[in-house]
Amino acid sequence: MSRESILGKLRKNKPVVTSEVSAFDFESGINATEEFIRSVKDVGGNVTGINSIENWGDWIKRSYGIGLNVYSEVASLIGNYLLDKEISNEQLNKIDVAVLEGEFGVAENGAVWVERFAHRSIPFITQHLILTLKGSNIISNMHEAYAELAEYGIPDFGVFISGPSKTADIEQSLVYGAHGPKSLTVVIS
Amino acid sequence: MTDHYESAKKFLKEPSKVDWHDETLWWVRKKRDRAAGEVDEWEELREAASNIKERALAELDSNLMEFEQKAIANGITVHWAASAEKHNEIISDLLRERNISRVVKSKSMLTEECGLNPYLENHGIEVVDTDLGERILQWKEHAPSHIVMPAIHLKKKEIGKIFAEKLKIPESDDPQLLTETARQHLRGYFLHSKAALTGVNFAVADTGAFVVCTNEGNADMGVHLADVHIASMGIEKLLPKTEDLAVFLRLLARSATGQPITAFTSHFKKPARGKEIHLILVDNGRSAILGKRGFWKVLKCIRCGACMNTCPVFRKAGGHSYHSTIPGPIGAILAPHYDSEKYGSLPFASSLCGSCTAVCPVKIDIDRQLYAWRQELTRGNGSQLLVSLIGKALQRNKLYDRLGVFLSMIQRRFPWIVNRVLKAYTQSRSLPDVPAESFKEWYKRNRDE
Ligand code: SF4
Repeated sequence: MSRESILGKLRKNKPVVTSEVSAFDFESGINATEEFIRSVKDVGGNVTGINSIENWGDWIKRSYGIGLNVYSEVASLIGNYLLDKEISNEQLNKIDVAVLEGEFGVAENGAVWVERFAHRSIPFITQHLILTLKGSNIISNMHEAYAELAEYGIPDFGVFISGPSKTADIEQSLVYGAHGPKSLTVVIS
Repeated sequence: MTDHYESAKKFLKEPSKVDWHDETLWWVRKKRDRAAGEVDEWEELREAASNIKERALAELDSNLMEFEQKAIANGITVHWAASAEKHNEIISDLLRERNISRVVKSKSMLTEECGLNPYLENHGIEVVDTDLGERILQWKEHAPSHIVMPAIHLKKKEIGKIFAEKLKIPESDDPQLLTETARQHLRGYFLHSKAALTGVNFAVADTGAFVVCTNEGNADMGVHLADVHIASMGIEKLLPKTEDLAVFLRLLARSATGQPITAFTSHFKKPARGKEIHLILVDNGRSAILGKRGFWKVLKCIRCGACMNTCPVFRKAGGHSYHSTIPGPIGAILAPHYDSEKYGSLPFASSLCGSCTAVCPVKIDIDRQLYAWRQELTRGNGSQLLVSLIGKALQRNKLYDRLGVFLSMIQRRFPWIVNRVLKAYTQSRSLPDVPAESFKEWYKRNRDE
């Protein structure tokens, strides 16, 4: 049995380590929102305030084009594309713009934590992604992020999203939209 | 033994490519410096990461049992593989039981280590690599030359050629266009694959969850659209606590590419309804390394690639010159554990400048281990005998003088002997001329004047 032999060897071979590990001591930054906005832009994303979107339908058209399938899970920003109860991959693949709710944002790296979606593939398969975020839910760094997650418990599946999908595999030239969303916009309310 | 020096020559044949490779990796190294510099507590983070990993490795047996118990309770099927063969067998069995003959796969150095792709192909299962760099390499039938930038040894013209050949498109060297083409080409595979394979960047014992990081989003595209997710994980990837992830995620991408975090950092705890997650815990030599004094800390590695980008030998010689799954400084201290004969030249492919140790986010003593390997590998062979003879000669005045006179005579009269003996050294440099008299002789003559 692999299990017993691995555990047996580990028990026999493990080194003695005397140093203590304590929780990492960190300081929270000030102006987390400002830093967050800067970070999202640095990783290739866009940020906009909910107030600067006067007419949602027009804004979508202006930003992404006309005749698109907009799928939304945010009540105030309605979409025009619905998913069936039994969601198929083909259906998911037709999403042009997905609007999902972010739980919190991390200032140091522009990441937004997302854990609620009708199907786990939505934030990846969509051509463009919009994440909404409450301004009061922006925190400084990853230590705070995990403190937050510890409080509510790690969900069955959750993801930090920092900017759109990207690759630099061809001569280190940065290209957005490798497999996942070609663009990411964070809408702060 | 495959000699590093000999295999590096192949890469060095194209000087302009070598310069590009050298400069590009140095540019990535500088991006890493900038990103690290923006975090005030960077050094504290490295120290914390090192401590957490050392402690985690010392408790790996109990941590793994806790992890297993939690993961099973969450609905993940946990498998154990003592060897690469066992790992491959588990995956092949899982796929065959489900009549799956094609899988999409995201980047995983562990599956490279295990030789999974050829194994599955031999068992009639098609593997589609979905990381852009890896897809290109799969077409070119090349191994990755770098653990983070697998296709860094290729220029865009070569990539454009292979795209034209495989996808029947006009030849182009535009990265934007090529990436878009690959996106459309691979989307079809994502939509129709029943199983997806991924690696694991970190797992945590206290929740039984595991984390996969990508920039392209290909791991998630694969697993969420498939019914079965099979994740391969080296046992050393396990962390005790969820909060530890903060330390490592702050370090990983900054060290790797200078990004503050990868675009997608996905946390898997339970399978989605109606779907399966299988996690394979792979040993393949790790538990043995854990027992080697002076060497076990190599297991702290989080595979960021920073030691490669900074290494003057790696930048000039290219990753393939190491002919090991993991190249560069970390590969040079890891590979000999698996085969000290085959990889015996790797610890010598270093200037011992220590740059790798200086950038390593988990503070592995890479340079010290390189040196320790050299001693280990030369124990009892000719070169160590020679070194000890030289040591003796240096201690004895007369012997040293005579040896000096003798060797200068040889070099002057029979230079070809010297060149043959010191071939590796003299091929790309020439030895200094022997002066007409030694310093000692000169001093003797001039002392009284
Ligand atoms: S040895 Fe250190 S620097 Fe090199 S890949 Fe591993 S973690 Fe990164």
